[in-house]
Amino acid sequence: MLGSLHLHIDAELPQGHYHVQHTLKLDDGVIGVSGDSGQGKTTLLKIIAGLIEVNPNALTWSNSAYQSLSPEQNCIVYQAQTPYLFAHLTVIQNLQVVLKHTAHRSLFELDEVINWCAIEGLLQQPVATLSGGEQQRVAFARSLLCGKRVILLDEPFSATDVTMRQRLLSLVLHLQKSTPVRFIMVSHALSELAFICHEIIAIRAGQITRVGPPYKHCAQSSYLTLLKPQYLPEYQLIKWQLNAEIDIYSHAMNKTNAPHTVPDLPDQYLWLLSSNAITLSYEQQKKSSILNQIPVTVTAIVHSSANVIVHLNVAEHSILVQITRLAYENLVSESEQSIESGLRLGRELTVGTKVWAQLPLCSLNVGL
Amino acid sequence: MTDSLLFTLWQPLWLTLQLALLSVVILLLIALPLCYWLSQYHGRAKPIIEATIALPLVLPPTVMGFYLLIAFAPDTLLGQSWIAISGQPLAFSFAGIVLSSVIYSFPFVVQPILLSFQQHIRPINQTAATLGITWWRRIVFILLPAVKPALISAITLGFAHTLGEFGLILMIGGNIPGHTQVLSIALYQSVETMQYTQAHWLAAILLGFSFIILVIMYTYNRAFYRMQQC
Repeated sequence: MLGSLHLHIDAELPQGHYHVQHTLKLDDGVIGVSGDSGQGKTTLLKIIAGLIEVNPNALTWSNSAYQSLSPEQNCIVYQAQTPYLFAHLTVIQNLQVVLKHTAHRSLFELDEVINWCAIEGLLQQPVATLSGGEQQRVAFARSLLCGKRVILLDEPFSATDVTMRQRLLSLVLHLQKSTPVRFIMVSHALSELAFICHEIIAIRAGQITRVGPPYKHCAQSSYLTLLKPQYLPEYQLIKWQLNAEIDIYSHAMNKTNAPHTVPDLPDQYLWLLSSNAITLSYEQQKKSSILNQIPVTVTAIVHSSANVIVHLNVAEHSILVQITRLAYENLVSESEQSIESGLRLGRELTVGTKVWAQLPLCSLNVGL
Repeated sequence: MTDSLLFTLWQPLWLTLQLALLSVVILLLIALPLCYWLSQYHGRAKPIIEATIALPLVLPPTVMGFYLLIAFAPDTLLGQSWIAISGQPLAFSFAGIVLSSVIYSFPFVVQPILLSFQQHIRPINQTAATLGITWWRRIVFILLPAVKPALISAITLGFAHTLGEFGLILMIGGNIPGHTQVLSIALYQSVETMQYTQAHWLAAILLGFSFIILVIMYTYNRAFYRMQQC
């Protein structure tokens, strides 16, 4: 066990005052740091890594064995968003030079790390020939090999494609769960952090504005907490539970491995929903290719010039649906017609109406 | 070629090579720590230090020779300590021309190393430190290999520039065969005394040496940069 890292940062930095009081419980799960550009996310990681000097005793460990030392002696490695690879060396030499000269004993074998990061094909290349995403993967492999226990990732996979990013995020999650390595990750993409983090710290202007599990950070957008994943190998889909009655399906893109390998999945996943990707209907679309259909209750309707935002409630979640005014009028006129014909079918789009929401297939790609 | 001509060519050539090699070694020993410090120093005195280093680029060698002779005159403190260390006065000695070579070629060795250090030291130090690599291992196994082209440039430029030194050596060392008569001065003397066969040989040796050294440097650096920028 690594224990907790207590932050008592109170410093005047060139970019402004920096004040953070918080305890990072690294053993509980991956810790995420979110916030807009220039608000101090990178600064926080650099302070933790010992690369920016702040007030004395700004970092204290619950386990005194890790008491903060110089950047090369402490147990923390910082990986920058644009990683600095040693340009005079090839990819494999970049990894070997770290393995050979780090003062720490590596926790992993060179071959397994190369395999995890999918850089087998790059080993003999000079680093100048690598794309941004490839550089980030090599840097991640190098961080894993340096032997330090805490890895600080600053937008680590921002330049990789979606499939590779999901694979590497799953890898981070897997390593946090099953090895002694602990992660703190900065990202501006909340959906990325929601996927792997146990706790997210939101930072603005050098201060913590919000701390808590992922759902606490999504008050302004729609999200669904998906639980109890179940891998369906015959369809390569994952079935999640929204609650005891409602299931949600997601992709399990598993291109690299055989379809029957069970991907490493988080216990829960916070699915961030784009409000214009949801459609509404009065009845369940029985003969349809849509997999994700859920019964919802209208809680509010807000009109704007071009669109209508319908607030819905399902399984203790609030989701927002943005539909065009024309689509809204079509829905409403159907309910008016049914009143005129005297057949009141409960088809009225007002607060309290029960409708069906058709959701896209959850865009989660996992696979190790 | 007669034996006596061979001897008159060999003696200044051997002396010049000794001078250039020794100067380059001393220059590297001074320039590496100086550049390591200077590339991380951002105080107010930095322009003054940089200007001092660059002075030999712009000053006529006679100006430096004049001040060196005055500073190291045997009746000055500096001159006496020099005699205590080297056992002889600065003027007309091999040690004297080594000192003048070091001063004269200083900017040629420092500039490429300093430029390269300024580009590499900060990111290498930060990255390698956080990866757990200690200070001296960072320098020996990462920084120095990363700045290898700059080191090769510094060594070849320092060497080639010492070969071409003339004015300062003439003022400090004079023209003593076997002691201070380097190639460039032997050439000057041959022309003065109208020994044109000897002059041709000396000039050709200097030209050939300098050209080959520069070709080696550019060939090596091209290969290195091609690997980094393909």
